[in-house]
Amino acid sequence: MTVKPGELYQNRTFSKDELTQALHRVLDGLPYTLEEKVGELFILIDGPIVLEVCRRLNQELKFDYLKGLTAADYNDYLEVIYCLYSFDNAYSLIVKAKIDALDPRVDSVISIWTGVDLQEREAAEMYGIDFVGHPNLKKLLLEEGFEGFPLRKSFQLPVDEK
Amino acid sequence: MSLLQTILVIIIELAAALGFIMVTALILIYMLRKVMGHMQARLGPIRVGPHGVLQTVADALKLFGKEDIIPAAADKWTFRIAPAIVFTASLATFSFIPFAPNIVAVNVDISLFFLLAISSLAVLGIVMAGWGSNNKYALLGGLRGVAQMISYEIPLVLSTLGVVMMTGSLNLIDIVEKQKTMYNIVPQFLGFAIFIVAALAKINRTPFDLPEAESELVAGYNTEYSGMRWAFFFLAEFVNIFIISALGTIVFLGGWNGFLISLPPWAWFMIKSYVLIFFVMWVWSTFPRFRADQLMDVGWKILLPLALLNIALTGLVILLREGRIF
Amino acid sequence: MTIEVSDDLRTELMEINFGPHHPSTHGIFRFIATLDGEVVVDIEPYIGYLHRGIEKLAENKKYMTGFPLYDRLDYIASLTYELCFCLALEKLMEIEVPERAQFIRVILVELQRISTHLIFYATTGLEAGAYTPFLYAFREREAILRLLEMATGARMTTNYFRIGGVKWDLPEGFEKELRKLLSKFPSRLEEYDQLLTGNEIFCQRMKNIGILGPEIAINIGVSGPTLRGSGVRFDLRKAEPYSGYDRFDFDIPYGLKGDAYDRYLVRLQEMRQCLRIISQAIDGLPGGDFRARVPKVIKPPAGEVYMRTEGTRGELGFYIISDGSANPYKVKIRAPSFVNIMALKPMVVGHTVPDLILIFGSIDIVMGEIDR
Repeated sequence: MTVKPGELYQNRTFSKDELTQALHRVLDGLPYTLEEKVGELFILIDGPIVLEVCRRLNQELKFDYLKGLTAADYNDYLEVIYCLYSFDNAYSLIVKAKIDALDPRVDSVISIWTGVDLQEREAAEMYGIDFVGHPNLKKLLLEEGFEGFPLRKSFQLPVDEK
Repeated sequence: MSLLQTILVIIIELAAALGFIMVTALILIYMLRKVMGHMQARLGPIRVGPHGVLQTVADALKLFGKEDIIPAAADKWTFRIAPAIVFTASLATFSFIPFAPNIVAVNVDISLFFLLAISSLAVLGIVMAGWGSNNKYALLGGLRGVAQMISYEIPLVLSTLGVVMMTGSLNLIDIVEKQKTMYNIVPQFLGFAIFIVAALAKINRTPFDLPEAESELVAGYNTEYSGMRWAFFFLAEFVNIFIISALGTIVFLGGWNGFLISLPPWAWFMIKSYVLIFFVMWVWSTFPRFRADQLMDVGWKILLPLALLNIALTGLVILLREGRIF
Repeated sequence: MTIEVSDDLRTELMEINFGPHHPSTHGIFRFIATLDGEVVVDIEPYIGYLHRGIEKLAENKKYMTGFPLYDRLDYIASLTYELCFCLALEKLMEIEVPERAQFIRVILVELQRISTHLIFYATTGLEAGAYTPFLYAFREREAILRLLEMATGARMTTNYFRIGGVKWDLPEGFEKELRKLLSKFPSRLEEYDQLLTGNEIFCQRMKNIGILGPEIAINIGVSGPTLRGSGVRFDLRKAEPYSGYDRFDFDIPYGLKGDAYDRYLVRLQEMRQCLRIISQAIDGLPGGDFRARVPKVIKPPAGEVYMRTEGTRGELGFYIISDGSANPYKVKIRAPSFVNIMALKPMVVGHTVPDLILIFGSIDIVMGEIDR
């Protein structure tokens, strides 16, 4: 996008219905579910198509801003959550990608949003997710030699004996 | 006088000089803390002694008691000697400063030249400290120190040349005596301005405190020093502030020549020096720091041409007065 | 002019370690800079020295028992985190917050925004080598902290906001003290400008370093004053108004060039806008309840919500997943500094070490929220 200094970014250029239509058009041919909860739009997809979905959203619908990346553990599967935002039409979107808990791997989106570097590294060490294509997926917050993935539900906090 | 007596006299003189220097440094440190404190909306030291006057003494005693740490990887002798060189250079310059017509340790015909030359030796100590510490911060600080001191030496010397031309002497006492009627700051205002800026850079003070830029280089060339060795650097800094202010007083502010009220010559000299010291501290607590390349720009592209211009103008005026042109 | 360098003269890159304990790393941040002479060619940040696992701890505590944890994220702007967490849950539980509570929240958060920007001002001065601005800024920050203590009972870790409102009403005399501060503050801001903003040396140091273009800033995910300094006039208080910000009249300062000086100016301008918001809020402070009626044990319905607010350093977000129980299933904290430090490398490469320090300072990070 081209930014004009001083332009106020808060205008919606099209309605929510048009956005859903556009989403259906852009994601045509890919398996996905679109739902709305608490005023937020969610796109539920499977892990392997993350990069493709993100690229289309970024290039064709101008979701140029990644608000945040995180993951959630649902015991039998993991979800990688991408919160997107578009400066052009002021819409937010949450993409949730379901991945296997036993072989958690997903393509890195660092080629689209370069700032996702640290967030992917954090999700990788907290949930044990392998972000394929990330150039530098080493430990970030935890100390060297830390065993386990702390934010997984199976990780038990050490219990205070008292 | 027997040999023994001579030696005794020398020792007493040395002790007196050292004592004076130490006391001066202590006063300056206390003054800095108070001046800076009040400029920064705080009080400065207040607990030790009345209004905290003994705070500096307490700190000095603390430094005496501190362990002298020499890093294992340091170049031991370079590391040890560096503070001594810096401090000696500062001490030696003291001997050329006339506090009054009759209070001067060494009176030579080229005392101005000597003073500036010997004070430049300190740069050796700084580069030795930076190199010997075997620490990257120290090394960067030492290198910066060398680059800075060498570049500012030139405008500093050139800025005083105008005065030398007017006086016709390199002797500091002669320079002062010539200012009975008018202080050099009036005809040589440009020279004085260059002198002040270059002097701040020479003594590594804000806005030219790059060699020890705390926010970047931790403590610059003296990062690895502790205890008394560090204290020597610290003392040398304050002694340098005094020396450069004294030099400014002698060369531009009329030295011990008083006005309006009559005070002993040394008192006038001290008052003027302390006014300059106050000015240094004022700048110190006000300005941010230059960047290395900007510092070089200021030195070589602004101060040096200005100093040369000043010399040319002075020469022209002298020639015109003597009627040698036209 | 070119200098002939013979083949047997080689130069080496030098790696220099900054931190974890360094005078200008704003906490325990460490980065390794690769230098060519004094020019930075590469930089790699190392974080995690302050990691407390707050996201994990939060999962094991009830919603409100875990609440004080969020104060410890950005420990100098704790209320911004409290506000965002409360808003997220209120959005999930569909709770209407009384107007008075909204106004109180706005006043306190904006006060805290001023105080963090004061710290930014102070540390920028320090990093540029000027000590006096630091103490001047802390003098005013002290006054603000005293106000916060008066309202919340604590200076830093306030623990004051509650789901549906605030813990207790503003104390008597708060308004008077606040007005005293409001009347005094503009002249103090002038003083700051005189001390640093217009200083020739400072301008030379800050201008044209660490330029971050708007496109790259958005791509990285930079937010807050750092983003606005790059010329993107985007403020969540305007774009997605929360807590009644749409009722207040204020401007969004922005930079034109995207250099460190622009980021500095944006923050100084923002303090003025904060004052405008606070004085409007205190003038129009409505009566009524300070807290909505909410159940004693917070049990939001199953679902998930992402709430973002304009923190003092950028987009501050909470992603909360609830499974309907009294403990959150997951709490993800989107800390602005954590994303903003990714902009450090594109900003500093090609600059010297003194610039590196200033650029790093101009992002204005706090380690508590980076490491979480």
